[in-house]
Amino acid sequence: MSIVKFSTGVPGLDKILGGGLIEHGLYLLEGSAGAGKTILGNQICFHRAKVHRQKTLFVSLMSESVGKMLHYLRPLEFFDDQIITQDLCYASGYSAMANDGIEGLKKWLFEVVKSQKTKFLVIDGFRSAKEFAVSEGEYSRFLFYLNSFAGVSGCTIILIAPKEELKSGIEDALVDGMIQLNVGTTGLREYRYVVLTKNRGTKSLAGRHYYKITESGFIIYPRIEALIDKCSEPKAHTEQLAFDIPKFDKMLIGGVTTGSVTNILGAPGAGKTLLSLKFLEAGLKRGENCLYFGFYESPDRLLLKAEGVGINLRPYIESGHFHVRWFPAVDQMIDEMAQIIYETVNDKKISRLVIDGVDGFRACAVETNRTQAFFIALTTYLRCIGVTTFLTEETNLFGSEVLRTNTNLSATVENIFLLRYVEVDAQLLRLISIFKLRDSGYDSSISELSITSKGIDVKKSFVNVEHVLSGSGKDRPEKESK
Amino acid sequence: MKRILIVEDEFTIRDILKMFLEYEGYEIVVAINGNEGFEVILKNKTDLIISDIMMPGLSGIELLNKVKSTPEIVDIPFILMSAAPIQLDEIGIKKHSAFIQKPFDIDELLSLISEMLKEAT
Repeated sequence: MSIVKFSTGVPGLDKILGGGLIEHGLYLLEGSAGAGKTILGNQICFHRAKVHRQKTLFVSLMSESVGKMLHYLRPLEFFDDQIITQDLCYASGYSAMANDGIEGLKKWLFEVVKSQKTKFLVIDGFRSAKEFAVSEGEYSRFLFYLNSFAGVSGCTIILIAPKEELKSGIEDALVDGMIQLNVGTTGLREYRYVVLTKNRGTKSLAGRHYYKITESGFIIYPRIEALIDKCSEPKAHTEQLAFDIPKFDKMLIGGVTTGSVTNILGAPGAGKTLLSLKFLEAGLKRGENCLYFGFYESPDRLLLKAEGVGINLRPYIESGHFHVRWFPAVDQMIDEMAQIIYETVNDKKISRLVIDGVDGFRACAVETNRTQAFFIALTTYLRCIGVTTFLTEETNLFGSEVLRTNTNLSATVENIFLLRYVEVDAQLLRLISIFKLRDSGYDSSISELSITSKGIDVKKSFVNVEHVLSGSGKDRPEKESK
Repeated sequence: MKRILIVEDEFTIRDILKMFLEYEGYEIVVAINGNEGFEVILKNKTDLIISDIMMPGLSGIELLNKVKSTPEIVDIPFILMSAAPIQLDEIGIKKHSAFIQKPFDIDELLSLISEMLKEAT
């Protein structure tokens, strides 16, 4: 008999669970105060009752009234009063337990489940049963009973309990799955994450996965590093994609390869965003669908900025070929951002993507040491689906050395371009240089990048100047230059 | 009232099955292994047997073979249950026998019981 799973209806949770909850399964959902245990339990109940039309029962073992709990749940979008009167029932088992102990509760639960023909049961405040059990042995037997009850009755059961650091091993041993909700803080920021500490018979996604509680309830963002082994192997491409900047395309010997990832490094204002937009414009002119995902320029400012250098993207927005997603780099969850990229790329059939930039993700990440692994996963996924991606990344504005603020992505990307300011003859010019182009040869000369109202162009190479990469070019001695 | 024998070594399963079947109006007798079950069948009128397969002592399949080779009780409907899948054809006995794999939905078991009791009458 194969394992039968059903969807929880909670975005992201089924992926973590490896497909959903198992029928006949007994789960422990535990978490710290305010982590959202009751909301999650109820959200699954509503889905089970509303979408699967399964008889669902939510039992509270706490002394607080069910009515009060429902009052707080009512504003959430999944809440539906009509379902409560039909397939979802709420009941308090507190009196049965307080009057007749665990045996009374068992009897009461059986009667209710049987009379309601319940197929999905959530017991909130489960550890109250510990207080009413005459011994630890009785509590263990009750858990064993529930495990067997799930197996025989065909009912899936979720037990909700506060997180206990020193809990007895019996719970870990007797449940089929353990979902742990956690609240953490870093600096002034609070974040929430879910960990599946046990999931029998199913390959689930290990590690921490961040989640949010919104008006629509729980949204879980599976950690993208954990998702990546589900992606197919990237295909090898040979098509070159040009920028429509003749000299630069010549330097690239045609362009960058389809499905490759390019890191554009540059100081603030050196032209990373505009060069990327030029690449998108070239794709849009060929009828491709393109996405700009950024943290810094709001959509309107971005379009205005592009128009300032002769790149008119508005018609492509209107025609539905160009898409802009913008989020300020404050308190965002990077897995949520990755999910938005995935969804947009798939829904809109995007072939060229600009992520502007790496530093925004780093600013949002709860664990900054995760950035490299995150980008390996993200870019691997984008390669798998053949999206040609540009990642902009900031370097220092001043100084002779090029200092990156981020972890080293060099091994992760196929191509690296460097943009920076250079002082030559008391003039501040922009330079562009190709540092790496994995799939073909390239012109390694250091050239001037011109950005004017007429457009973006790559001009002469700095043949008579040396040390330009240091930011302070010096005229090459006459003999050498000859 | 139809009398059903449950042969199951696992206490909680036996207990829960008993509760469900009593709720449906059956009279329930229980045994903890095949040997005890066989004695119960010989001493009391039994309308249907539900037996686990993997038990210490006489297993469910051995009990089934014993019942099916004892003329006075050969026609008692017999339901084997186990977490491991088996084919009744493979053990060579088909008449008034059925198999249900654990974990099962109680409704599935209840309809199988009522079907087999109906056939037997």
